Amino acid sequence: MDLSFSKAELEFRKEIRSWLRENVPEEQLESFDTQVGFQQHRDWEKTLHAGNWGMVTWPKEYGGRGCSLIEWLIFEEEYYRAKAPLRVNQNGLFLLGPTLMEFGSKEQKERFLPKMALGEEIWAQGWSEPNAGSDMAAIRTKAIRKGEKYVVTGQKIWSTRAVWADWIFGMFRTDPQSERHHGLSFILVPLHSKGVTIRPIAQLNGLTGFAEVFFDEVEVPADCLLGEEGDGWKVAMATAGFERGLMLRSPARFQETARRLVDLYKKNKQQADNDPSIREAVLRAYLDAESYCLLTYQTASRLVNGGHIGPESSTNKVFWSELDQSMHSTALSIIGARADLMSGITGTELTADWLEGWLFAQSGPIYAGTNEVQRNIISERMLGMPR
Amino acid sequence: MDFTFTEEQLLLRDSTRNLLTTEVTPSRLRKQWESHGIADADLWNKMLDLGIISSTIPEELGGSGLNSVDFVLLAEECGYVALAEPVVYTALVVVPLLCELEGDFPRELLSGLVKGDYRISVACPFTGLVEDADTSAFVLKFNSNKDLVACSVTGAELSPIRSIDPGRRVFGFKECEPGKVLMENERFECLHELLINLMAFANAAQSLGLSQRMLDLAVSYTKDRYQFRKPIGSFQAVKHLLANVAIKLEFAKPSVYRAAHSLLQYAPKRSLHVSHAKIAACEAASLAAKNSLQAHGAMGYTWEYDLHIFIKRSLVLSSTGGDLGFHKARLLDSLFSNDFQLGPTATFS
Ligand SMILES: Cc1cc2nc3c(=O)[nH]c(=O)nc-3n(C[C@H](O)[C@H](O)[C@H](O)COP(=O)(O)OP(=O)(O)OC[C@H]3O[C@@H](n4cnc5c(N)ncnc54)[C@H](O)[C@@H]3O)c2cc1C
Repeated sequence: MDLSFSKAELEFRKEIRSWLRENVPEEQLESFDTQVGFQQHRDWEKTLHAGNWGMVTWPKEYGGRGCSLIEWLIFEEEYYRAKAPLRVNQNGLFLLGPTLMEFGSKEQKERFLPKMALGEEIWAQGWSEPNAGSDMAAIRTKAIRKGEKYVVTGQKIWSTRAVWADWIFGMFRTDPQSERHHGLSFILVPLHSKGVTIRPIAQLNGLTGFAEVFFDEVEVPADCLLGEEGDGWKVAMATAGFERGLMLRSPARFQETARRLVDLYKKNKQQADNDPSIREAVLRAYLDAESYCLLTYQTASRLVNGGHIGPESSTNKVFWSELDQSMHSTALSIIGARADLMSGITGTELTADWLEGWLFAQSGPIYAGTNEVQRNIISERMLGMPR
Repeated sequence: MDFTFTEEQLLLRDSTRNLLTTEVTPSRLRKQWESHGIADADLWNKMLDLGIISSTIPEELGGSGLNSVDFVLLAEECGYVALAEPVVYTALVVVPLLCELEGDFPRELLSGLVKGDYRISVACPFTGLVEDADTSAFVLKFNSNKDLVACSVTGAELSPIRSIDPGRRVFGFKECEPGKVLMENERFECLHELLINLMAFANAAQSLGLSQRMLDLAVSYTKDRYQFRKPIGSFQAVKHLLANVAIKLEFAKPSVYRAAHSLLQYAPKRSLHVSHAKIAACEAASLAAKNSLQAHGAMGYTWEYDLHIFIKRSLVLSSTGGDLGFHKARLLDSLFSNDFQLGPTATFS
């Protein structure tokens, strides 16, 4: 065990820090769930790419730097420290990217990864369907092979960023006779194809952060199949593993929130101490964000040394989502009598950020597989308890 | 000892429930949201016609003379439908405050309310903000001299403030001329405490109803939504999410009803009882918000689905009327004082 950064890692930190200092836009971008904001964030991805920072862990030929996962964590720390814009292409970069690395053909990697890194193609995820949420094996949207094409018909729902995204990846039933986990395939579908209809869905903040996507005999080239036909479940589980286990929510995000929370507490200490639970909750935020960071470095080190992500990835997802919820409610408790005010009087800019974050934190225990489902996985697959 | 409501009180609650659930529907609330801050005047007039607005005004002034124990159940029902119009604040805050005052002017104001001549709001003693100031003729507030005054809204400076709850119509308020003094500052302590108690109590009572609404939505959703070929309500994890809300709510109710009684009786410990009620009811509502949303999955996270109307309102009711820190501190101060009675005989003494 050696818990110090190598010289190269420290160099890397310095490099990204100074690049971010020069390049992070001073003014906060609009939300990427608005048309203007989406474009601004796409442009930011281009800027990142120009600095070769699109996805540091990828090989150089795909627009990366061939960095280790440890360096990726360092990148993320600096990124959140610099308050750089959220990644509009996170579905692509953090989820599809690693899946393509593992299951994609050489042609597929060359076709998709560079444009992903460049922000030229922004990705949405298409797993859920109206009747297949937690029960993903109930997927019914069909993709039937006809010559050199798949013909896709059906409907996905809750697809994040799909309102303005360019592509969607997800699971489709390629064998119409099949049931449950069988006969599913992982396919990439261009959202600008004929026969695709997108119905934006507004979330609790009023913005259309996700969408319903309808497919009416949409023709997709057969080489958009990722992995073998019928192997969709296996490929999807790998993506879900990345999502829950490591990539989706790096610890930096929560450490930054915990830092803001401690700051908020210190500025309002006298009033906050009226409620004895607040002090405890602020301490807990710090400890839990710290633990999350520790576990992530531990996991990353294990992967670097050839290990794999297993069912314990579910512990991660439960942990960060509940931490995020609790940090945001603690912040609102500290703000106290004005906790619901978004704008109109001084001081509310800060509250508005916490309120937006609070709303979004409520969805954490739902997306990427609900926490109830994660706890089922933990007890059954990690602990071996009876189903 | 009889900790139950009378037949009559329950009947009034039932008829109010019927009325409110037909009149104050989520689609009506949404329409008001979309009006960009315009109050729903028809709804107010309806409540006026039905006598709900004037229900706590003494009979000799034309009201129906309901007290806090009578009205607590009605406030709960108003919470159940997330009634945004300031009916509860009028009946449970403005009216009792005015009734506390001597002289002709307060009585005049009360008669005006009964007749529907105008509305009256109060400035929040914590933030100075005023709910529904734009539709009111007068705002009751403590001036810098700590006198309780009634300020005319005509000519005053109103600045609209946006809450996360689009149904909350709240304003910064600056009067243009000093208000008419209702009570000199020698009774400040007592009136100030009363005002806080009334607001907190009103919010606590509404939070019970809100919690019940969120729970009902989740229970009914989880019966109809199927995953893995079963209603999701059959999964133990989902059942327990909602059972935990039911436990919180069940134990919040008697604390709110006791507070109603203590306010009515001027019980020496009424402020503590109100604080207990505020904490218990708002915590129930906050758990109801969190767990009901969780039980809904992504559906609950959409603007189209009604759950968020109630989630957002629960945040407002928790932060206003004294936040939980205020109420906890007030309780702790008493709890650790030397003469505070504790132990098995202390509750009703
Ligand atoms: C903000 C947000 C973004 C999202 N983005 C995407 C996206 O980009 N792409 C995509 O495909 N999907 C996305 N989703 C959908 C998400 O994956 C689903 O919401 C999630 O899988 C749950 O499915 P559901 O909403 O249908 O809820 P349901 O499955 O109906 O679940 C409802 C409740 O029942 C519980 N439950 C269900 N089954 C069980 C069980 N066996 N045991 C115990 N409890 C159970 C759940 O835990 C939950 O509490 C997103 C959701 C949100 C909220």
